[in-house]
Amino acid sequence: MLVKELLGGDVTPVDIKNDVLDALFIMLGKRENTLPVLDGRRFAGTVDITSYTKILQDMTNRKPETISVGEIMSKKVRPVDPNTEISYVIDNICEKEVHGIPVTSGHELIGMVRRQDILRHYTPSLKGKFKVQDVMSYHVSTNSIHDKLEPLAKRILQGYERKIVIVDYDTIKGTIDILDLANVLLSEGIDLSRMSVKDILLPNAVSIGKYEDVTKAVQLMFEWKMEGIPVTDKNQVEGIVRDKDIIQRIKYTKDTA
Amino acid sequence: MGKRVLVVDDEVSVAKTVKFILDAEGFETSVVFSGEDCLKRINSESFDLVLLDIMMPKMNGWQVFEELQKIKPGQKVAFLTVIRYSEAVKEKLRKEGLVDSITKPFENEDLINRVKAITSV
Repeated sequence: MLVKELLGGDVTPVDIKNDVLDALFIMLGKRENTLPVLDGRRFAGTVDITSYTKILQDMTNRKPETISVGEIMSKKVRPVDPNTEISYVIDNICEKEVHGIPVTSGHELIGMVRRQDILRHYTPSLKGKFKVQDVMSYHVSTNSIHDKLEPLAKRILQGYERKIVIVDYDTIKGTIDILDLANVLLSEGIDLSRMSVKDILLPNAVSIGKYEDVTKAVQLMFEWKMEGIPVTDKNQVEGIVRDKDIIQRIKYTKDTA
Repeated sequence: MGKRVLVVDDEVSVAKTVKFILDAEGFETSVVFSGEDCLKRINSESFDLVLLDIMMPKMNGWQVFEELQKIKPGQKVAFLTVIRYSEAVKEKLRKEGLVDSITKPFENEDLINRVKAITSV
């Protein structure tokens, strides 16, 4: 199968001369972690939400509206041609832990293959074959809804965690990820040390049992626009199933087919 | 007939409180509790102002704002949010079409005055 058969068309690029707030607005509006960057019509690189949050940790020097996208973009992710085999893209997404691979024709951006595009296409083929416990990660961080926000925020902003499950005793109350924090950090004169987890928590208390079919996890990811769903067993948080875990399984299934 | 306001907030108590306050001032206020329902209403009805919560599950206020700009360009939207956005952020959002950002919790008088100011233009 070729990239052009799976190409996600709904991609909003950001211009290299725009400031990072412009990029962040697009990320928040689309709940996208990565955007392609254009220099005129030419593909120039990608900008990731983690690049933005790195700036936020060093805001004493420069404000985000004074920093251009070009200053923080990455050239790590190389674009592919539409006639590239999709398995190459899946390998890249797994190995580089990126959210998507830009697709160019010549130097012109024509789309992007993202994790959700791969899941949408391949997940039906997993139905009945794998349960959540076959793909989930048992490494998951939890915090109490009553905890202070700052230590949790630092762990996410410094890249140690992507998503933290928030509980009230044993009950899941929601999750917090880097986009949730990015929104909060747009606040004027914010003092994270005076905030608690519940101040920013969305009521997205969705979870899935470890014995459920993996396709149900994907369905919840699309429905709730989340890249990871907490996994429970006997009402206890046992892990998390992420889009990348399922893509790893798709890759393994394809490699061994 | 009063100006029509659509309040979008997943916190039922907040949405209903805003409706109570604005209805008492002569506005014709409707409430929905999700971004998805907001878009459905906007597709079939006209409102002078959408008061939009940002931190909602499934479809957050940023996503709703972006969709509104696509399906109803020029629709007046004000954020209703616990986040006190910086001036730089608000300035940029104004260019994107946002008319105001009202911070929760709000004083009733302040809410009324700002909604009056927006809808009378």
